[in-house]
Amino acid sequence: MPLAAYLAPVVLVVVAISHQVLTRVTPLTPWKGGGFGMFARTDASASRVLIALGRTADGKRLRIELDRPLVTPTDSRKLRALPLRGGLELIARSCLHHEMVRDGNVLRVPDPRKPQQGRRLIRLVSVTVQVYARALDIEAQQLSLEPIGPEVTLER
Amino acid sequence: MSEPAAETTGPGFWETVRAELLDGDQVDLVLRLTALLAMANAVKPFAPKIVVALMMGATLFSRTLLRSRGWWLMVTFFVVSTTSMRWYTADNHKWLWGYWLFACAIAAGERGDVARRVLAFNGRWLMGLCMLAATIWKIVGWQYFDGSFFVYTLHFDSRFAIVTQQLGQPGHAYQDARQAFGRVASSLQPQSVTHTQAMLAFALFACYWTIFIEALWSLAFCSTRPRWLHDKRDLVALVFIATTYFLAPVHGFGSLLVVMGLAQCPVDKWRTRLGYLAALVMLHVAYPWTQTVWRIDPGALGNLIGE
Repeated sequence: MPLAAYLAPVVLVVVAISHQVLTRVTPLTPWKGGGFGMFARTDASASRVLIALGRTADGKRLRIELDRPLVTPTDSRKLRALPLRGGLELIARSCLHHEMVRDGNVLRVPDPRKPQQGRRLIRLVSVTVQVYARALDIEAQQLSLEPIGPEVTLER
Repeated sequence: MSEPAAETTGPGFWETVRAELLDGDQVDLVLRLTALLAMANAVKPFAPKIVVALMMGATLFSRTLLRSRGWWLMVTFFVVSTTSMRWYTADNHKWLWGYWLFACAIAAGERGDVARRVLAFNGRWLMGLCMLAATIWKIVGWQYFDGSFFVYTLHFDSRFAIVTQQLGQPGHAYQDARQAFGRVASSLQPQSVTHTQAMLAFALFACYWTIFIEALWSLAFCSTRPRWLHDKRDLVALVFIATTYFLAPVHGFGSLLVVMGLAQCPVDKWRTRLGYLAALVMLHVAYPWTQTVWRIDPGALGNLIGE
């Protein structure tokens, strides 16, 4: 057989080992990256959630609705699969850059197409961004969030 | 008068099927099946899927392309590039498609028995190694030993809704768990999620069964010892495919395993080869139907059957 015939299994092994190493040195989900870690752990990208909390000038800490223009769906998916500091910082900067409105207990960037009818525009003092994974404790029968990867806090 | 010519009968339908599928050029059969399945399964994003479908469609109709190494390498490059660029959405088997298409490219450029041996070697080792990696992940992931992986799956994966209900989980508890999944992210507070003992027992069984069958698969394909297990590797693969993909709707992965299984199966084992082809039909015809039933909202199904 030609030598190239042996290449595919060799590359599979190299990628699988690299994937094992990457998931130990970075918060990469086992489900993505070619290491055949799907259905091995519950922290798939779909079980992870990207959360940003903003602190207002009056000291209130509120959840920020992470949607366009703060983050694109593609970037959100990438960050949930592999939450790296650089990507989280970009979102935090974007949150600090935009003025927001309060909608119940959530802050969001106002939709320019809709009238805000006297809503006060808020500039955040600080923003914390972190990815969490849903984790089920089967003994306590409790579903909670576990932090995954770095927590990024930026101040104005 | 001359005697009437003896009535000649052509080969029957099954003889023709057997001749075409099992006794014909096995390399062509595997390459054609690969091309056919790659059209739907090799990549996920819509635009690249169209490109792959066109390239593989042309391969099905042109024997020149079918046996062109350069052509298959182009397809491989396109599929691997797409998967690499979209690594954050690509499932395991998209990577496996890249490896297998490369193996097909190498085989397509060879003639005679070398082409068959290239496909058989790659089929066997890719099947064994991918399952070995999957088994290692399930062991080091540490969520299979207490059943927590499948308890989580039974709660939150809608594809298992019917199974969850059959395991005694009341409809309202199932819905509560589904809502808790969203609520935990919006409130950032822990949520109570209850499960039945039957769910826990099933989850433990499913976890240990999965580790057992995947470990057995990887041993059977990667090692020639014990000999009896290596000789029965196709049976292990078919049992795995039959049991796993009945519930898990990832027939793209299952189809690829079937094609690789067919490629590494000795030519004289025609019943086993037929088994792989039957598995392929099952994956694309029977299982999608059952999975549609699985996906029906349990509440709606309860109303339908008058519960």
